[in-house]
Amino acid sequence: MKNSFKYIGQAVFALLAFTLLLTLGGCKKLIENNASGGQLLDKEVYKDSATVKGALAGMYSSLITNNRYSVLLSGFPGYSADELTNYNLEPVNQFVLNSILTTNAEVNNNFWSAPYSVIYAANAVIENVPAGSNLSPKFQVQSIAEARFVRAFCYFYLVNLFGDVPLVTTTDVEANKTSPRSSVAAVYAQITADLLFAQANLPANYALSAGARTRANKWAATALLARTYLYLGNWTAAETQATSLLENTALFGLEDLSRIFVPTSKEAILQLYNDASGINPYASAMLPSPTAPTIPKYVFTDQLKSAYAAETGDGRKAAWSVTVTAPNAVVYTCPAKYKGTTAGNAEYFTLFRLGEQYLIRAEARAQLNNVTGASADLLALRQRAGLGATPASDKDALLLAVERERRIELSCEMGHRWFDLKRTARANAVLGAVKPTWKPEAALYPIPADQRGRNGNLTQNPGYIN
Amino acid sequence: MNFYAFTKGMLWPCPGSKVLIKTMKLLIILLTACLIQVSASSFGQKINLNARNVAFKTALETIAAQAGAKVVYPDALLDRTKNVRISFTGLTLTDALDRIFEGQPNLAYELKDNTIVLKKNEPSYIDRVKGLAEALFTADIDVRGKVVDSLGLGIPGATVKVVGKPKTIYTNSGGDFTISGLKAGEMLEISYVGYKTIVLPAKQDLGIIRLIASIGKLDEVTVMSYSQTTRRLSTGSIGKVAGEEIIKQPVSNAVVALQGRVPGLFITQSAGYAGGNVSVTIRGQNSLTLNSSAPLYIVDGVPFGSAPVEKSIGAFSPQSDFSPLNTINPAEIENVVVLKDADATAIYGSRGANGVILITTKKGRPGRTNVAVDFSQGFGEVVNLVEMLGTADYLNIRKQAFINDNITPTVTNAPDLTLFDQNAFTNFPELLIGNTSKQTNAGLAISGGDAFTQFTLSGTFRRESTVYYDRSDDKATQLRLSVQHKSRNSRFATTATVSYNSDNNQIPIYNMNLTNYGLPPNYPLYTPTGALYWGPGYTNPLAAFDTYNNLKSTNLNAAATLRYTVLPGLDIKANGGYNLIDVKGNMVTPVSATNPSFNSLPQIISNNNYIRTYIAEPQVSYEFNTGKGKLNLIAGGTWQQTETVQPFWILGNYTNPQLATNLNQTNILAKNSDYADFRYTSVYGRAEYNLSNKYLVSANIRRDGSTKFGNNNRFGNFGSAALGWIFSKEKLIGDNLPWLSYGKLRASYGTVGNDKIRDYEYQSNYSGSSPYGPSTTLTPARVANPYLKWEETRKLDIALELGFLKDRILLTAGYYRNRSTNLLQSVPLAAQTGFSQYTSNFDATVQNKGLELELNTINLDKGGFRWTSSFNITFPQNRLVSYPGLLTSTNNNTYVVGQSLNLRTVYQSTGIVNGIATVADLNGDGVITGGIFENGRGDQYVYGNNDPKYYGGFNNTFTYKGFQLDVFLTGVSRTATRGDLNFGTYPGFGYNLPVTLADVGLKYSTNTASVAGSRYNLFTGSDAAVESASFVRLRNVSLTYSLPAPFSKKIGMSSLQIYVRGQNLITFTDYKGLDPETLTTQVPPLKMFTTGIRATF
Repeated sequence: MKNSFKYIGQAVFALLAFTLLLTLGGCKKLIENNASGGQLLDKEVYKDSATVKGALAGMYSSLITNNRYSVLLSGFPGYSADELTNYNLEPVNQFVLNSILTTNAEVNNNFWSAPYSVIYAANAVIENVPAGSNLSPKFQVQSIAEARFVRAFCYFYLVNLFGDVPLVTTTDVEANKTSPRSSVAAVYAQITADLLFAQANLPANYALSAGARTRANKWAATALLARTYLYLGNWTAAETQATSLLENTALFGLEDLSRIFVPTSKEAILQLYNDASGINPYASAMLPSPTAPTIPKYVFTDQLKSAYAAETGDGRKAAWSVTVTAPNAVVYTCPAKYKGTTAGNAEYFTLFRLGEQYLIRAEARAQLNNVTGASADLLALRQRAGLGATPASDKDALLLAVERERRIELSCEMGHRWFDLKRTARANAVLGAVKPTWKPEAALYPIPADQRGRNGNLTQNPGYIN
Repeated sequence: MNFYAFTKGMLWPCPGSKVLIKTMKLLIILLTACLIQVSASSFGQKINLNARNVAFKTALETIAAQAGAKVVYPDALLDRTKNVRISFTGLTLTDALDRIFEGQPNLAYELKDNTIVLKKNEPSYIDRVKGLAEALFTADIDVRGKVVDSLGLGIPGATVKVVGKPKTIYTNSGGDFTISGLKAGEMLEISYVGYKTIVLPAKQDLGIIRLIASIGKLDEVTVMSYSQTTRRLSTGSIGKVAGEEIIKQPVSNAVVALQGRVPGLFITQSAGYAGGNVSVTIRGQNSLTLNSSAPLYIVDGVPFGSAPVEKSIGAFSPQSDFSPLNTINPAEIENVVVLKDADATAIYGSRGANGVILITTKKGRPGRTNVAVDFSQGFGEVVNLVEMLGTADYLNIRKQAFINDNITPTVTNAPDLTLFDQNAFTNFPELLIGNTSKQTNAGLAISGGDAFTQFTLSGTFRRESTVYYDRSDDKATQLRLSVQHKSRNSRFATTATVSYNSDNNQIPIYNMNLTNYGLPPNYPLYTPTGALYWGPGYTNPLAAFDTYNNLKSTNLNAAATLRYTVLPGLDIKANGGYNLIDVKGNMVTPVSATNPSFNSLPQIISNNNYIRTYIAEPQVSYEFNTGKGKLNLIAGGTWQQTETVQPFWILGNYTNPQLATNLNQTNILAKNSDYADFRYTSVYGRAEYNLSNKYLVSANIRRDGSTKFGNNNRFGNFGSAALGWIFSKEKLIGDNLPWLSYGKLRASYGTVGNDKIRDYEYQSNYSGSSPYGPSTTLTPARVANPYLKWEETRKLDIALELGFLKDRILLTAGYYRNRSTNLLQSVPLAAQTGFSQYTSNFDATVQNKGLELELNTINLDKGGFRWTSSFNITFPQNRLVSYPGLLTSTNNNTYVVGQSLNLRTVYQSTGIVNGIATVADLNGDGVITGGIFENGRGDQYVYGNNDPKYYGGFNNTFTYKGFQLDVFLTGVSRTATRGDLNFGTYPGFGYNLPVTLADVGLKYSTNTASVAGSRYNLFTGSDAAVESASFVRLRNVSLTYSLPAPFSKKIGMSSLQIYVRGQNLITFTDYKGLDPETLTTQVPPLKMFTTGIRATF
């Protein structure tokens, strides 16, 4: 009896010790580890304004990575439209022939995947900044506004290249990895909401980027908003937005053709810094090499060449195109909007400029039957190019005049021609006439097969197999 | 304490420098002679005795001293001995003992391994009747005694059973016991795990009862997860390799010596130089990535990383993989225990998901201070150099190739035909790896202590050079101190071990391949001025040896254990440990090591990486006896922190070669640093119940926490249960199958977690990116996966263990099946998430199952000749059971459901037609495309896999008198791509060919773009290029001779051994490459010979 009491006592002791160990072991404090030395955790980034500024600047540096938002977004839609052509390289040819394979890596990497990684960065800012303990409320709102601008900018290109796309507005990977495509209207609604927020909460000057026009502000948001309304056919709103920019003569004005893209250009609304080398990526990619000429990668189509030559005295032909004689003795014409092929930051790639706003307002006014106003806006650009007023005098003629003016003024810039043909439903008529391989379904790029393999909920655009 | 009196008697009478000088002299003589044939034996020496009425004890002592033997017995045994009056000369030990025991009717002895064990003579029938009568008529007595081990330390928990009565008690923490109400003369049976059971008659004071450690394989004490067991009583799957088996193999990496020793343990050496990495898997690859299938290594209780430290974190250098296991001194290993199933590994939980390798280092023993010196020297070489064509044959192929292609050889397209001497010949294989490697090993160990405190202090120096052209080498210095202490009442005990090993590896990164091994045999190495010659399009193979490559690693391992017995049976224990392994690397590439036409600048890569681990493990154990059963409860916890740090990494150009490693003198082109912190904690409970040493039950439950996972999934619960039934103890079997001495059936099932992924993978974070104008930038580097959770492996293990003929034959047959789910893997993501992949639990299932057979036999044990064998073989099978969405995933060209993870997919060869390789268009689409036919993606079909079909080892040990000979064979059955393809290219191309590749029948061509050349990959990638890579290797032969004790005594030593060892002596294989084990272009494991001497004072 005495013995069993002893055993019970011992058992109780053992049990107590075990419980003690359990509490110790289960203690979460014991397994809190130090942060990684090589990378910064989100919560560390969003504590202080200095690191948040780094994260905001990081969104822009992602935009310039691999020249996606400069060279590629100007060149490849240019191939798809009737601006540019190319004579040798296989995956690029698919754009020229309007028969892009679903396995095309350029589409997958540059046009589909890259913007979503920038969108992730923007979503992270939007999600994390409100909890940032050391951030002033003003800075918080401003940072969110800037991120929402960048997000809207990325979605604008996604929706115009692919049609319906997944609308991702959080960083939750488990929720996002299988989200299906949202309708074009839903995407535009998000773009508009983001831009209105950005317009209301971003400064009306370039203080954020110390005078350089390299960070989004109220006016960058206004410029994209004007373009968005134009694409949506909301003529009044487009006119209003464009007008607010055009009337801000203190900050903006048209520059001489040779000064449009320089860092001090008054025409620039939003530009991107060059990379660390200080060479303009557009210039080094598009301009043919003067020392060792080969067949250039980006070559004017006959259509663009004749558009440039349509009106005698148009200064833009000389200013924005260059010819080169390749070893095969053929003379090629190439885009030459930027010329800074050497280090020195002579030009910054320009995402938004005042010239486009004249064209937006001209088109909106024409749609609203404001013939005089539309003509006046066109005249502003034509005068700079050394031309007189447009002969167009009614709405339809003016709309065609705007289309012609846009194709020259905005040629080989940010896919304008490709999007214009599609949004005005002129693609079939224009491209069908000059491209034997044209088919209406080519207006939308294919959803990359690789992505459809990774997310079974992604549907394919019509006309594409797989 | 008679035992100590005896050992003291054996102490060397005049210790000091004289002995040392004598020894040194002897050492030199012996080494010069290399191996002396002496025909004598330690047990064959002649014993003299001249006893005129001396105490039996003294007589025994004298005889034992002459034979260099130990005597072991319970104190009380010599109480009633008669004095000895015998004289003799020149008897053998056995005869001498027989003589003096003649007059001692109550005593008997047993001679085992140089130890004379005294025991009570079995009473005759009459004696027994007499005893019984005595017992009937004598009064009850209280019996007390103390059970001790061979070191004189009390054994707690030993079983004391009264024969024929249901009365059993256990000894207390000091080994003491008392039983009341016994009759004098009643027999007591005293037993304890790992010791021979003894039976002795009861009397009031039994005094000290010494148990003899059991030497049978079944009853060896085996450390298992913080506790101890024996093979007989274990419910889990455990393999054990003794230190002696490891030390017999002249390899610098102790893990390499485990090859073929343990079923289920598959080891491949990546290269045949010191420090080369080894790949180790226990029961197959559970995870999709082989890297996360490495077992857990524990050295003296401290976890030890097995992956190369210099590649653990941060920026990497091109330096070769240096195995940190190479910094463990093989000579200091007491034993290695391999834990395989869920039951055995349960206490290590997730860290042991892929099995555990426990390395225990040697501990000091009580007794006189012992100084051991070991010195060996050896050499090694590559056995099989892939034979290349001679100059004439090579040039003929080239000429024909130009004719076939209709091209005229010129100085630019055929320097070998136009520029180089047409008769010159260099045997490049011989030049590059034809040197002789030299190995030197010197060790000194001092150990000793008393019953309460023991120590061992040791040091080793090892140098091993390579077979490379430059004879570079690896040098290691290893120091260790181990101390154990126990309080007088045995309630408190502590041990501490510190080892510090440093390794200086200067072996260059050098692989045999086409550009060096396969150079045209008439390629001139030097210009007429003696500088290295760089032919057009060729690399001078000697230039790489101008690179200075150096990895300096240090490994500090410190461990301490405290134990306190609170109450009898209730122990509190705590382990603490620290491990620091630090690697500094420098790789200096001078201009002379690069092609002068590249105008390279002299380059340095300098880096430092270290891994620091702390561990603390409290534990409570409670042993509870319930009549016939014994219940053992353990509860414990583990806390571990591992920091992986790269303080710096730089790549730069230097100006002054002498100051190349000085950062101040370096123009830094790239730099990096990194840090990761891992914490792990767990609590566990284990219950073991042993009923009458017949029925065994154990169960584990544990909760593991790891910082690899987010807050919500940080902890995982795992557990296992196991049953054992020693059916040979059943009366029915014992009576009917007398030849079956041992039979056990055991089974275990359990789950373990695996967290082997990189740190922080569950968190999202930012890294620095290219600047945006004047601003620095941060961009998202990783997406958060808060759902990341433990990978889980369910392990089933069933085994039958049998012993025949008094355990002379021991057979174990086991079946295992591991199924892993929630596989941690880098999973492809849709880009809309912002990332292309993240680490996630993948919903695939991988199964490893297999059959393991192990046979240990004592073939002969007669007249001093003993022959034992051990054989093991494993038949593993790896299978991807399910993989949802495989066909649409990026892995559709890597895996096939239902097949092994290590697939071999090849084209189906339809022969070489007119010199052009052709293959079958399996999917009939008119073109030959890569991709797996079974997955509907191409023309490559599943031929088989790279896994071994079976592998095993066969060891034979012969001992006769002072000689011991070990012969050890290992073997693997598997297939591989033709090994000669590693060293040749398309015949006719500007490189030489292995002889075996020259007659395949391909049409010679000078370039791979020709019709024939462009189809070369259809040959190399087809089933025609698959061959058997099975091999049987005479892995080790070791011959040891122990000089007779009188002889060694004369020269002042207590023992002296000389040995010859050979490693990788013969390989039987059809494989055409360098080596069927490595299968690569790395220098193969060398054939080594060492001779050495080991002396103790």
